[in-house]
Amino acid sequence: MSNKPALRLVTDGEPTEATVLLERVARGSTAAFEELYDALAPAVYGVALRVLRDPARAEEAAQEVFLDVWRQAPRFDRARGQARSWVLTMAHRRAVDAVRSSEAGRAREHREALREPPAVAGPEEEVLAGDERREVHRCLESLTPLQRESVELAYFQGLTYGQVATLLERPLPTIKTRMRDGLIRLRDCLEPNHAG
Amino acid sequence: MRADDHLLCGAYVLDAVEPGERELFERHLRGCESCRDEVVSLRHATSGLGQSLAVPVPSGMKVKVLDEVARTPQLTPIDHRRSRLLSSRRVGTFLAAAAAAVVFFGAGVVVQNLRAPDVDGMTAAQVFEAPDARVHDMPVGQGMMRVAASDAMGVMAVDCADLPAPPTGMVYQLWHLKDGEATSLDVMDPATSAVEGIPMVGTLAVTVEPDGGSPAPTSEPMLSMDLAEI
Repeated sequence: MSNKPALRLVTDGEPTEATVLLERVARGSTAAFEELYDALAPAVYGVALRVLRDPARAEEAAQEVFLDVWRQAPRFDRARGQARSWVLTMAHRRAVDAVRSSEAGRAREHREALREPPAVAGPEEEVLAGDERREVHRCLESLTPLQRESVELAYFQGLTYGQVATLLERPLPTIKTRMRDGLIRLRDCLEPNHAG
Repeated sequence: MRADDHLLCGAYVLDAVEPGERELFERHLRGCESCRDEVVSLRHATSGLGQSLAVPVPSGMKVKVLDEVARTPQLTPIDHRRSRLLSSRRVGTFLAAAAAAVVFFGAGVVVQNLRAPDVDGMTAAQVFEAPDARVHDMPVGQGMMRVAASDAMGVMAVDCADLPAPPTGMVYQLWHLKDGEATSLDVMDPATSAVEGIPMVGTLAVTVEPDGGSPAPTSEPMLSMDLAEI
């Protein structure tokens, strides 16, 4: 069993700093919440901004995510991953749902048809660069072009696999597969110095 | 687990499944441990992608968040370990045998109305997704029963769609047990959806009964849950 990557990742990870903080938040600590906010807000806001492409809506989404983090902290389950992963999952999902459900989403599609944005971080996002960002970019380079495009269109643009398949003119199962093995490759590349 | 289920893990983790499909896949996840493990491990990758997008946060956002937090109560905790353990402790041998058939039936969903008598049309999915929903996963044999309660909505939902199909000629029946008396709440027919009131005290129990249900339980509960814990 210990050879199965999934199990190793799930069970062996020591709690990260953010996870320890979140466990204190779960016991009602607003001081820990503030620290957690400081640690994760740049990524939460960054995810929302990338997907929504509207600073005001991104800020609104990020605020809602943190309120959710506060409310749901007592239900955080360590067995299902680390705190950062939990929080960023909420952030991405909220942003994607907002984009898909709203009028603004349709307006955004129109805007994007006119102006194709950069696939990875734009210049305005280089401020908080750091080793980890370079590492992610290096690992993205290790994906096949189709894996990389599928993963990036879904995560950065909030497209469904159906939309990605249409855009790239590939069959649905191909895109589903490329998303999965793209993420597996990315995970394995990031894993040694990356803890959730 | 079908190969195709694992295939969808990547799209699911990327939030790239269609909205309706997300719910279906999450239902599947509740009964598929290896899929859940894969989802957790793939989230290491998306977590890295998310981190790579970090940008300076608008000034003033923190104050607004902390202000909201100061006025917002937290949800009550769920003992994840305990709800996982319930399976082995409370499930009778009968179900272990019944569960050998890995046939899953459809939307066996019942909404139990705790307080408001006028919530017909409310779906179990809405209860499960309520912001204040307390959700309990109760593994039963190779399947899963889920219970959710929302104080804001004033209802509790029981979702049996991921339970293994009962043996031919048998059905699941949901009971309210209190002071030694069992009141039938519903027969969990695959297509059942019902609304009815139940009190907050006593025990919620599920038994396997002959087709059509029984006036009183005729077998040991395969699962029981103190309503105060919900």
